[in-house]
Amino acid sequence: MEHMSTLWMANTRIFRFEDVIKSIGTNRGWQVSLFVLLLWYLASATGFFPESVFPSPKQVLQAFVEEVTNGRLWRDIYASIFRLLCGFLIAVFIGVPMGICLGAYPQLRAYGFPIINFLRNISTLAWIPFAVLWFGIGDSPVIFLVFLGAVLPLSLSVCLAVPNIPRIFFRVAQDSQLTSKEVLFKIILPALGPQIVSALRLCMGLCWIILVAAEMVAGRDGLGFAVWDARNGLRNDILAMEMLIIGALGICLDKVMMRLTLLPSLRWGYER
Amino acid sequence: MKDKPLRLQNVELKFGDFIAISNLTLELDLKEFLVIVGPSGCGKSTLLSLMAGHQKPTSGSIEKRLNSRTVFQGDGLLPWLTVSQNIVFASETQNHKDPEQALQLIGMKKFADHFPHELSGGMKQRVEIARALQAQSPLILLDEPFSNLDYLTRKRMRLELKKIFRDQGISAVLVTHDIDEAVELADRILVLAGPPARVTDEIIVEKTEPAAAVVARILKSVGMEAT
Repeated sequence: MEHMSTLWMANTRIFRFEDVIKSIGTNRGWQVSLFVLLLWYLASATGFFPESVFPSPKQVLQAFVEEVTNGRLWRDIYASIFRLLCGFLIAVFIGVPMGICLGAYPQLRAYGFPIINFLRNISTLAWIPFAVLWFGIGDSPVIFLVFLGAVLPLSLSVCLAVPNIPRIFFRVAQDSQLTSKEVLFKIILPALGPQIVSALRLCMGLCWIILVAAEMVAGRDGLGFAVWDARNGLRNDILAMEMLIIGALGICLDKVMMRLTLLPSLRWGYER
Repeated sequence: MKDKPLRLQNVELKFGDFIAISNLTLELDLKEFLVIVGPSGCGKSTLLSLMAGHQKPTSGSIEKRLNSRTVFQGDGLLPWLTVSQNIVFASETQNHKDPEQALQLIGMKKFADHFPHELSGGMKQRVEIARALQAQSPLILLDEPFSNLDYLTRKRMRLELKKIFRDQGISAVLVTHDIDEAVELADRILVLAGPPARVTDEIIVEKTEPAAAVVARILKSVGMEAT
């Protein structure tokens, strides 16, 4: 299909790594971060912020070099990103179709909506004991918790977006004699595109928070476990460094998700 | 009777207690250009959606012997597709994938890769017309397709459209509140009043009859005298 090829071309253009880096560099947030870093340095150097309470930037930098040199930081980042992507992708493949079904069939929605609404009000972190009980320690419980944190909000937002698809699109589909499968792939999914991407962006942020908390309890590695391990080892310098890495990676993930909104076939949802 | 592409028999449409269309009967001849005129809110577009099969009548029957395409008022374009992709959208199952000719007709070759949200209302309407023509449907239903076009483009599109419809033997139903448009395009005009929508007059447009005379007949049928 022609429009699919346009989408692919757009994909290759939009996800150029240097563009992502450039957008971070020119961001005002980056300048604010440097200012905060300067304040932190001054507070630490003047003794206003004693090192026993919070490590100095120098200590954190040394901890960073130490963790990079011994390779642990990369292993933790890899483990966390792997779990995040696994849980998130499973949530997308289940949550989006589930949301479409709930949105398209009012009777199904009448039964499904109260259950989803109930479950999404239970903090995902409350499931940690059960996740450990069912899956043990390691990748599986964390992936399960990330999945759980994303699947309900995602399906709920898709479910609410489906009835808002303009009826006229279905009339065009009827005129074009599309099959049900074609209506799904050529009308419903593209029409939901902007809402799905917005929901994915929100869920990604949520999942990142859940992931760190889940790894603290149910992981043997990963950034969350590293934070917990540093705390147990009284290494506040590593602890602060890991926190900075978690924040920075969270911003990078959000930037990547935000760039999805620049896809030509989604721009209509953000520029109207 | 068998070769009538579209036939409505005692059609009624209700929304709760509200009667939108009441006991309406009409037929469309093969290759005929039927124009339905009437004031805003009288049920013209609702009638057209019944003809297209987008809505089902509460009672009565609708027989449609040909596949139809509807030209909406510009809001029927799919916003995630470019102009070119929208034009060939309805034709993907057939072998009419090249939108060049249709783009030429609507004068929008430069906008082939633009998205609908980047177009004006008039441009959107032109793309809708191109999409219907691209599908080479034998029956086209038009819902005020020129309402957002400027005067000159409207005149040109009307002439082009009438020529294409005649050359390709397309049967068409157009609803409009523009009487001049109706006179210029129609083989036959139905004057609608409502709600509930009902036909109050039927005017056969003779090719030799001056347009002003036809306009006067329509105005007279709605109780107004031409000045």
